[in-house]
Amino acid sequence: MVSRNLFAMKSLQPAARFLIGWAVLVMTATLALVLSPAPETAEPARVFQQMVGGLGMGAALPRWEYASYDPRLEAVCTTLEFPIPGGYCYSPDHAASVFHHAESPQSLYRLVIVNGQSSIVNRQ
Amino acid sequence: MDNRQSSIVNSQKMHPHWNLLRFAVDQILRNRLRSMVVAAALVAILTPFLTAMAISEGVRAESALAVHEGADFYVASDQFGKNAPIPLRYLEEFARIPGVERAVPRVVGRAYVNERLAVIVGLPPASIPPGAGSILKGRPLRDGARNEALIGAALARHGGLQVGHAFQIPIAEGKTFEVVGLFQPTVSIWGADLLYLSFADAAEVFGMEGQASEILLYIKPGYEEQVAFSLDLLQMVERGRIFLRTQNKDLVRQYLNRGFTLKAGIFTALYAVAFALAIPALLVVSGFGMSERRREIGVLKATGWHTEEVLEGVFWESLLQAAAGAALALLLAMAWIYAFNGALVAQFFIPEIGLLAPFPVPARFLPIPFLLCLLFALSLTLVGSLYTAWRAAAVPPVEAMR
Repeated sequence: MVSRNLFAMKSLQPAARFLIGWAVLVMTATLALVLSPAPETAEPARVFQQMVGGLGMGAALPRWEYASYDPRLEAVCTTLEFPIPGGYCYSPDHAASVFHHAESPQSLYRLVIVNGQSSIVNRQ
Repeated sequence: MDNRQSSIVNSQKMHPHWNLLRFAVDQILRNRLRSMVVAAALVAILTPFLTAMAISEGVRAESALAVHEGADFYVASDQFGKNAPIPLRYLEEFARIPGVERAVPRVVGRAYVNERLAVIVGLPPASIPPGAGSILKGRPLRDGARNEALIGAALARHGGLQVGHAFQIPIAEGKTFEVVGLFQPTVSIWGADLLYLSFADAAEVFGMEGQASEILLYIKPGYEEQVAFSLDLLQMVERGRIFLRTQNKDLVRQYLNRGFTLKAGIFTALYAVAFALAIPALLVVSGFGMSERRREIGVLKATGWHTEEVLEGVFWESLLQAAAGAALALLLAMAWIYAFNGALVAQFFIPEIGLLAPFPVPARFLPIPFLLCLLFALSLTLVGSLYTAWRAAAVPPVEAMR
């Protein structure tokens, strides 16, 4: 039977000691891992990006369209026009992905920078 | 009252919560099967979430680097609402804009190489940074040399290509390229299927000599506004001949933040629904051995425990289970990504990479998703146990022990 006077009980059972020790160890390791500062971006990745002039922003290899690969290269997902123009977007490049870059406006708009803040405004 | 008795009474007064924590540990040990099933259910629910959020953060970090190290302005033409090539005659005009340090033409296109779709990137070899040799097995392109190529690790592995090998690209019939360097697999996820050529070669491969996919402008600090204004003036002069699509770093960074925040937010919301659906499952799991627990609570009440003490004991038990489940899920997610390179899960988040990613899957484990997991796990276990414990504690002990 469980007694209310637990603190007065003699020392913990070995299994309980093991459980508490294990839990403390796992939690300490976990906290150390998640609270440690994010690693510096690797130098090879930096050199690579300088070499290609900045390439890649989405989690996709451009199998179908570039918008999910790098929206700088293509503002819209072209599968909106193919195979059915104006139809459903069939591209597997952004299916099930946790990232997607929204369509960015272009030709009828112009880039304006005011006080260092960039925005796109209607050209008309 | 002697000293020893007094000390015990004081300890009891000072450490009621510690007593209840020990009671919770005792309960977990006594109901090992139930505790293990709850922890396993939590790990099964939380591990994919942590893995997905880590991959999301990893790709975001690489994307941010792609923006930071990229050009200050990207200028392409716009046709039918889509990016289109820009004539090279604009290169000189852009270079003359005050504040522009250098203007670099770039070709980006797709073509099959050894029956695998590759991204072909062409830049003038003079724009290759000095440290490029460190990310290559082999050497960078030589300035002025033609028909030399640098190849991504996945593309090279697929075609069995090594430094010194020659290959052809089907769309550029008659042209033979020599592999002078291979990108290390660790450089970037976007380097895996890359074929890096000189600008002239890339333009020739696509039959687009005299044009570039875009012109990259690198500008002096503080000249952003002036360059944007000059490009807008140029657009007004060229009206009817070309529509320019101009993007700068700040704008691209906005795409990045918007895209990642929106989608990761949607993913979290969807996962919250999955968590909610897991509550009934955990109710069943936590209710596993409920009649025994009910009897135990009856015994506790009969020996003088208050309802709030019973509930606190159950809370500690849930907290321990939630913490263990979340910690195990995190360690498992880390092992999954770092030891097994996200096998069987990465392709859900990085489409079409196959069963095993040909590059190290980028991942970053940050505190916020872990704390979210801990909170979710605690909610789940509490929902599964607190109410039933309260029901058992609220009835007379005789009835609970029956």
